[in-house]
Amino acid sequence: MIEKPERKLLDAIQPYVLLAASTLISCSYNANFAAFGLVQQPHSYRARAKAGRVSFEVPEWLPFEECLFTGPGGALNAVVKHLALRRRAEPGAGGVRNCIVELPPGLAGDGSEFTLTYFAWFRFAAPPFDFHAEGRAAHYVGEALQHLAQSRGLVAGLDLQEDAAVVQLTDRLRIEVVGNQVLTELSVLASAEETTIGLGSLTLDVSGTMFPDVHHALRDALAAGEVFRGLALNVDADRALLHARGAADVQA
Amino acid sequence: MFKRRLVPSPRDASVLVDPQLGDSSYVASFGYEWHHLDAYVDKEVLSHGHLFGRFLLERDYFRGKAVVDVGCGNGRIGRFIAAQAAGYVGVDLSESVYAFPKHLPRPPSFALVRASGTDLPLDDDSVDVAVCWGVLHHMDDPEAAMQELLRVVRPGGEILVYVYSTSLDQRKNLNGLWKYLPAERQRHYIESLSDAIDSWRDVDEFFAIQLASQVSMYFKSNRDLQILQWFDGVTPHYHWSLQKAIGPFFESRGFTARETAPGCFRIRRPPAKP
Repeated sequence: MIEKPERKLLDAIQPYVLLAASTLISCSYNANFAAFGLVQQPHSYRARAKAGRVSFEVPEWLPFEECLFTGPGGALNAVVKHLALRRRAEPGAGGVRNCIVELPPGLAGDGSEFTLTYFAWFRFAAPPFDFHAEGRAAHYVGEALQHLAQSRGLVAGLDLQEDAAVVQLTDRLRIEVVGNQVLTELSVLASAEETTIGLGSLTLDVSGTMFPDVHHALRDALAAGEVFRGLALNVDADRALLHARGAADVQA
Repeated sequence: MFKRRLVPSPRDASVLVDPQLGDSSYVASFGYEWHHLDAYVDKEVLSHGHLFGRFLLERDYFRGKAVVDVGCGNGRIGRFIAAQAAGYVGVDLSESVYAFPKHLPRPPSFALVRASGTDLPLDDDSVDVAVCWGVLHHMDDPEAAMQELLRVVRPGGEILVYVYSTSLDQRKNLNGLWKYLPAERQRHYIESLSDAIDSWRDVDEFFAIQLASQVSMYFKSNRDLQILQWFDGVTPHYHWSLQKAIGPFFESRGFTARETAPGCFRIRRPPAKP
């Protein structure tokens, strides 16, 4: 039984469950799960300053302009596209490229370490905006979700556990985020019901009571004989379970 | 030109309705989308490019010709044809046909007809050109519709067909889910997620593009168009992959087919033998 306040919140979350289901279904078609790799962990690259510049060797796919650029001791801490510094990217060999940032005089001496980090969750920036997510991905995402809820007027609690974060949206509704090194699961729990996105296992287990539109659509698709390439689908009266079959590429 | 009597629509007497029109409930929401997008159509000059550019048509291609536009919708393509042709018949199963602009140039012979593309109310060999842009892949029986296209084109005439290319096949998985969402809620989901992904783009364009491409959404400068194209791509009940079938279908019936762009076919009926 879902109470009225929780029902309202679940209805607001349902489009995002649909988005998760859609992404899993769509990625399964070509067994390319790069989008899941992007949300599972921060992708960090380090380099040392030399002759007034710092040059990062990064994979070609890395969105340089969307990365967080951090300097030693908190000197500089902003997304690259917002930095008032000259920069450029040059092609490298073997699927890499060099991203070069010109440093202002006196900022850091030769050998000072800088970091370039991409994490899709940065767009839900958590206070106090330190963007520290490496090795604490679940905690960071928990903080970001709490911040998101609070910015929408919800008094959300946060419990940081050893390898998980629990965001308490109401007495009966919470979000659990698991995996500090690599995010493995995101769950929404309401009363005795649970819906889980398995980011590592590439699964989605949907409660029909919580998210009826998504559950019923999957139920009807199965009943109509729809075939989803690369995906196994099991549905009963209460739940729908999606499982990607060919996780050939979970990295970006 | 019409092989059976059509009746003026009680809703708009300038639109004719085929009395043999069967159940069109599945295109009702489809029609709603196109009917309510006048604002975008005026801005979408690319429809000219869709037609002339992708089919490699010369500037005056339609001049002096009798044309049927099957699945004309609100005239996004038809308005360019009607401005040139000697005769134009726009056919659509959905109510979007009522939104065909009234203020644009029309040839002396002009008709808008609510009818099925799988049972065209036109005589055999009655048009010089049959256009079918982005429609066959959403029809309940595309082969029957193709049969109708070749029936109505005169010897020496041409059929212009655009179907989704195989590069869009990934949508089939997505379509298998989205078409089963409650019809009255599809628009809500399309709008809310379109707006959400759009707003993420301001903060992290890279991830927004990754996500949008995975769920078959394309960023457009016009919100209505963005929503419509997503709606069009993932919600119709039928979503056939036809690119590889078009050429063989027509060629096996004595027509010649040339693919000018992915999914765009110029199909010529041989001239009559003297």
